Amino acid sequence: MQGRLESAGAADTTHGRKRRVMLVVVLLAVGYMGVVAKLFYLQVIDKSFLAKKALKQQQELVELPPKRGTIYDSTGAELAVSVEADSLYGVPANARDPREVAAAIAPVLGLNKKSVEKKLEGDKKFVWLARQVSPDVQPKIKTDGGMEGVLGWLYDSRRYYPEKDLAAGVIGFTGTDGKGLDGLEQEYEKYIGGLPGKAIVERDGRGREVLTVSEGKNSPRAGCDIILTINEKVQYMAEKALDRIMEKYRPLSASAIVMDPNTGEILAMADRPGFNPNDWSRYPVYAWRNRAVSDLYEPGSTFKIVTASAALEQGVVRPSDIIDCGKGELDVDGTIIHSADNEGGRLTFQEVIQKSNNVGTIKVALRLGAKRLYKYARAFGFGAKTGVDLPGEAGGELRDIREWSGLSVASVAIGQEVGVTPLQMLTAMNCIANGGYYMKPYIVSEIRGADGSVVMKRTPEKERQVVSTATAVTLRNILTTVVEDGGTAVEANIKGYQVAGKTGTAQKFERALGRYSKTKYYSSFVGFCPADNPKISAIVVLNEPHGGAYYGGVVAAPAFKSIVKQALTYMKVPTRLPSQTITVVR
Amino acid sequence: MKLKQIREDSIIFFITLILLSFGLVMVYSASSVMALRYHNDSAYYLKRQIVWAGAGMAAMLAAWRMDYKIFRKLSLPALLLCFILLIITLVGPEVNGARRWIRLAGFSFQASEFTKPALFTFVAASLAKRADKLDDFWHGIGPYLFICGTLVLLIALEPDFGTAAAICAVVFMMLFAGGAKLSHLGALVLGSIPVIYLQLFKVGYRRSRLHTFMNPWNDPLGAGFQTIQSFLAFGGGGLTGVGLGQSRQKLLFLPEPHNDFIFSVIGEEFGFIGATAVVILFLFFMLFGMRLALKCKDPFGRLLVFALTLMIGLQALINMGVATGIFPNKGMPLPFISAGGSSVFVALLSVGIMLSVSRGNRLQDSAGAAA
Repeated sequence: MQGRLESAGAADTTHGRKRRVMLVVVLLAVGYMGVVAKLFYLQVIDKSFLAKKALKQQQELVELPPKRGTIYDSTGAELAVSVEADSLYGVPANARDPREVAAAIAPVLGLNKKSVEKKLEGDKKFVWLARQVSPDVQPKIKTDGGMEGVLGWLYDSRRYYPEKDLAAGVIGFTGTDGKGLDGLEQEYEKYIGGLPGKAIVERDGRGREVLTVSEGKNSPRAGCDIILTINEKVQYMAEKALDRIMEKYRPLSASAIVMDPNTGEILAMADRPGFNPNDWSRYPVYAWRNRAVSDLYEPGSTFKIVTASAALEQGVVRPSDIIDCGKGELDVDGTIIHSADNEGGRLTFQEVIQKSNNVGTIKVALRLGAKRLYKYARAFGFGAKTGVDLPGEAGGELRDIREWSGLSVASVAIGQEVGVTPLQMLTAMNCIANGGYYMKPYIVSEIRGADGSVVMKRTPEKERQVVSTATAVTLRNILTTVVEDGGTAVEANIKGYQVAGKTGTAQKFERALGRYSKTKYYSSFVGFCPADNPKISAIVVLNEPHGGAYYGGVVAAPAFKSIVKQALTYMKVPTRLPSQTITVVR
Repeated sequence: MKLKQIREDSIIFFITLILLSFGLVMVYSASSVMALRYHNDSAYYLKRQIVWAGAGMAAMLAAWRMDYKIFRKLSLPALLLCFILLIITLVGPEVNGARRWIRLAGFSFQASEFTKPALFTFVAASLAKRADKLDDFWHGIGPYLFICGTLVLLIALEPDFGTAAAICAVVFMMLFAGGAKLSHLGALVLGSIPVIYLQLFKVGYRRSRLHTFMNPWNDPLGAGFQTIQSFLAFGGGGLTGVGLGQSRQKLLFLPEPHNDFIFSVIGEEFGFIGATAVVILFLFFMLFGMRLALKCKDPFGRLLVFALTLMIGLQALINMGVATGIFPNKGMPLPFISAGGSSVFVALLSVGIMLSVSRGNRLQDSAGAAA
């Protein structure tokens, strides 16, 4: 090889160049050996010193809590804020008499003397004694004199919900460590939470341990603020309406949602039983639930909007077609299905929906067939999470069509055999309100950095067209008759506006008995207003109203009316002039 | 003879594979906690790294199959493209006080990384062609100073002084190995001393890094923080390490544990033995790469393999040297191992080019033997 290279070029330069390459190789190799030598020094010779120091620092690293971001409603009202509240820490290594220290501070803080004493034993360098101590207690604790170096205050923040139980299920709450545990506080933790700072405990000149808080990179970074689509005023209207429902009908639970059907923005979302997030630990776990997205119920007749829009879109029925509802009974696959109060006779399809006739609806559904009904139910978003930015959302139940029995097409057509969340139902109704589009629901419209910069800005998402605008308008017109004389929800009629909506009164399925209950119901009303140019949509759901009344048109419709009427006034939506009528598109 | 050559490229190939797969494991180990915290997905960095490593492997295999003479023709257009990309980088958005990335379709890449192979190929090609002119300073070395200087200036403006300096060092060594006159090179070194002085002592953060390097324990919470945390990681690892995934230093203390300081996490989790094994793998990579270079009869191939080997070897040395405190703090990824898409992609592409030269060389040999 050597010989060939030499013959290829000038011998001296080839050799010279090879020597130069070798020199580079040697330089690099020496560098590598240097690394190994240093590794040997760090990991073998100096190991015990470094390892001890590493262990010590890992034990003595104190996380400094950052300031959480504020949660605002759409108008800038504060729904969750962090207020400064210092926390008390102790340095056990400096405490010569833990018992004495504990005796001095435990009673003032309302803590157990023994447990405080125990925390102060040993030679640890840092321990939290009481987080977020209220300002009036702080002066009673001495951190100077004999307590200097033993006790100290560190900046901490405390979460405060100025509106108390308003939208509590949506906002959630934080734990004592300041991290979000539920609701938006949990869902947006990585934005609101900020980044904790670091402090390291070190020995000072007098041999005492002191906490060193360094500035810059290691100081805590404040979290982002988030701005909701929730409107505090509309939320308040929904909360009040639910309070009245709870008082009057004493249901196990109730939910209400108000949305902008054109954008998918959630304007209000309320649940009962509620809780005060300032004091969340005193409430039972079930009170924390955001039922509007987590609880499933059988929708009953409200689901007929799916059957009706599918049938209209597919052309199997027109609003004026006569359906023979017989004697209010129908045999489907060996099971007799009844209309409410066994109502029968010859009705137009429009009347079938207006009066929520089961037999008529099922007859239309049979024309449509299981496949198409299933397809539309899916398209309306049933059986899948809406993807709303809230934790704990349930996906609902809509069995795959391959698992349907012969009865299923009839059951699903009238809202049985399906489980939905109130948010799913309202989102489906929004498709009718806005001309056929599935708008993804959302609740956070903007995230802003602590410095005011915009981190995220949400825009409405048109996910898909579910039905044509013509079909949506036709159904909209049919749904306005529901609140008119002869409909199931005259109580939802708002003077000066045209309301469109649908009632639902579903018998609860009692698993223990394996049949539908005769006394327990889910009662609901879902609708929107003004019918010809919807600005607001809302749903009200009651779980087991007590006291006799249970029809959705009776127990839920008035609450819907009260919320929507106030909201329309608040939003300055103009009333309909008496002479004005809606053009009916057929 | 033939056997010897097969052994070289297969050794280089296998070392690359070992380092790459070990790197993926370490990226996950070092980043999972942080990724979960900041991105809600413990595999956030791992997934990105896998995508880039996959693309890099594809580029490597493709380059390996090619006739390496093609790179000579490609080098000038590639260099122009890098020049444009570097300018785009400089007008792009600022991240953490620097403009180093170009964002495209959800991925970001560093034009400075891609400049390395392009520039080295160009310099190798031109040095091979103009070997006889090297004796004249202005006509021999001057053009390289100009081209290299322009690109390095763009990179230094980002600012990414580490990459800029590393490129200068490699090009300087190429001139050296390519046969430039020692007096010229000496003049070059003398001429650059004022620049280096200004860069080191007049730019605030670099000066403080240098002071910290002299004695990190002076300011353990401030400037010395990173170096000391790295020392503690190595010390905590001891001889045999605390075990895969068990590093405690990566949790809060080590800055960039999946990138600049991944070697410290390796040291903590696998101890002196594991860290030394990594050093030795790089050493072998460098030795066999250089042997491959020396075997090349074609001056272009020889200089190209020399430069690529040196680039990878030097980067590894700087990264490991910084982690162990032999060099002042300087962000530089550990080739094949550190998280960083452009870095791993370019390293794999470079290996592909090296293997291609080796294949071309062997074909030439057998053709020569047949003749």
